[in-house]
Amino acid sequence: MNIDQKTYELINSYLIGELNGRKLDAFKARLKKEEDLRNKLEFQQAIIDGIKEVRIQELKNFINDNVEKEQKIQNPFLKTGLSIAASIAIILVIFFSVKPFINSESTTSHSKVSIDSLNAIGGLNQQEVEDNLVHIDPIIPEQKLIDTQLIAKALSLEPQLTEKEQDEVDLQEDEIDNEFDETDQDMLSEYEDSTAADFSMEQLVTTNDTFNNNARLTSERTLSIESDEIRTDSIIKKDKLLAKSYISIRLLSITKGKDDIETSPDVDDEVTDNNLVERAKKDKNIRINKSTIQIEYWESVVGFNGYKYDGSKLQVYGITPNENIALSSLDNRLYLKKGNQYYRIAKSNTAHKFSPITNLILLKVLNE
Amino acid sequence: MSVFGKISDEYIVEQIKSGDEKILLHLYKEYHSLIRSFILKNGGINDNIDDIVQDTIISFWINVQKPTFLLQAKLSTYIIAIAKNKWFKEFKKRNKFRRVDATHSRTMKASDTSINMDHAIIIKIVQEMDETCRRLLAYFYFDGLNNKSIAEKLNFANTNTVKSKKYQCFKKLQATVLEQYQKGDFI
Repeated sequence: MNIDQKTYELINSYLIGELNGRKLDAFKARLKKEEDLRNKLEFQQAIIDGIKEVRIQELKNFINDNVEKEQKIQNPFLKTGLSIAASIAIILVIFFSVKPFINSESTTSHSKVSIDSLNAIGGLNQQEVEDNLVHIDPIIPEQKLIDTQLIAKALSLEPQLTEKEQDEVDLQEDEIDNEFDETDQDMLSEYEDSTAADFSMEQLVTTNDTFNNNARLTSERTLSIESDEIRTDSIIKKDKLLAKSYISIRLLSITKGKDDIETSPDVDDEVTDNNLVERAKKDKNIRINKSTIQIEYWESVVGFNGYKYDGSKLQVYGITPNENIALSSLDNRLYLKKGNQYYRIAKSNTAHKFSPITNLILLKVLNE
Repeated sequence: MSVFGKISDEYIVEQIKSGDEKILLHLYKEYHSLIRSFILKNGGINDNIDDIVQDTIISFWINVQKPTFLLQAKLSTYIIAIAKNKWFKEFKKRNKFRRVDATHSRTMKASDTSINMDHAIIIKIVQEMDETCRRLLAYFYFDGLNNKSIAEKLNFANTNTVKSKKYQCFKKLQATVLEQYQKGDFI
């Protein structure tokens, strides 16, 4: 079976409905007569049906593919959106679930204090109130307790320290004393603050000033008990004052001819030993006066050798009252002589180790 | 297309006539829920819906390609009418198969299989032919596009090229089909 182009076009025209009138009648007449044409028509129709079927399938695939793609594109957004919505919902649920408990807890604590205060008003004795307040654990005082205990331990159990460590420990020692005094105050003030804070909330409920005062007094008592315990536990040894006396100072001043060039105290701290030496070299004239200063001889528990000089009183560590010492002042700078060695005495609120003077010219001036 | 973004019925018909396949997606999305709702109300289940919607849309496509097509009602009414016919036809077919006894069913299946086998082989041959020929024949026989439109779509020089190419493709297809079958099957 071979369908030529003319027959193919004629069958096509018939199948798609383009034949009409005489042409259509003539084609139908031929179909009746010619079996070959009927076969060709049937064959061509079968192929066209196949082409249509494939095309329908293509269009269906086109729809399916694109719809699936759009769903895939939409799904991530939907999933993300749903995830976010679910997360928010969960957070909200958790928040609203937990919130009543938080509120109830805070309400409980408030109510506890309120109940306590009401009980106090209603006649609870001081001990019961104190028991309630003892549960408030101040954090900072507790930390200080640990620190002081450690320092006290160091002071008592480690006498063989290096000089540097001894210096530090000694300095800390003084600070500890101050801290102990301050600790009591700090603890008290913190107690007062926290108590005041607690009771300021309470005031919203009870407005009971009397109880606040009682509670403050109770906390002070509790605190003083704790502070005493701290002191008992931690202070084992303290520096010992051996003697007090007054000692004369040799005042040396460098003069330039007739003009007195005593340095001003304001610039004293800025004058270095080297400057003095330079000036001493140039001027050669030294005037000597005398003054006195209070001196305290201290024995350090850690064997500290040094001094503390606040401008009016000199505390020396590691020097006994029996030892011969002398003080000289050059241009408002104080120098201590012990044996043949001079030491610079700097004015400071903290203790310093003795530092010997090695500058020969300065030593020569001091020895004048 | 309207200024409000709603695609008009006329625009849809116009796009189908020009062979724009993208409009099928719009129709599918636009009428899927409507057809689904109709099928579920009339004894259908979810499994039937996608096939019926696709068949409905493609039937509408085929109808629009016919030279005699004239849209005299709303597009939605027309499409739902097609969907109803598709679904009732499918519904009757299913009920009919339920009443058939096992022996008759086997006979019918054997007969259908032999018919479908021939048709399936032609379909397979069409699917395997080169894309230009397949598209050219599909545009002409299925989409009803004229030679000028086919020339534009497939970038042919003119309508004569389409005409001659069309015959060449058919002849090629005929030869392949004849190779697969004995002459006696078709003569």
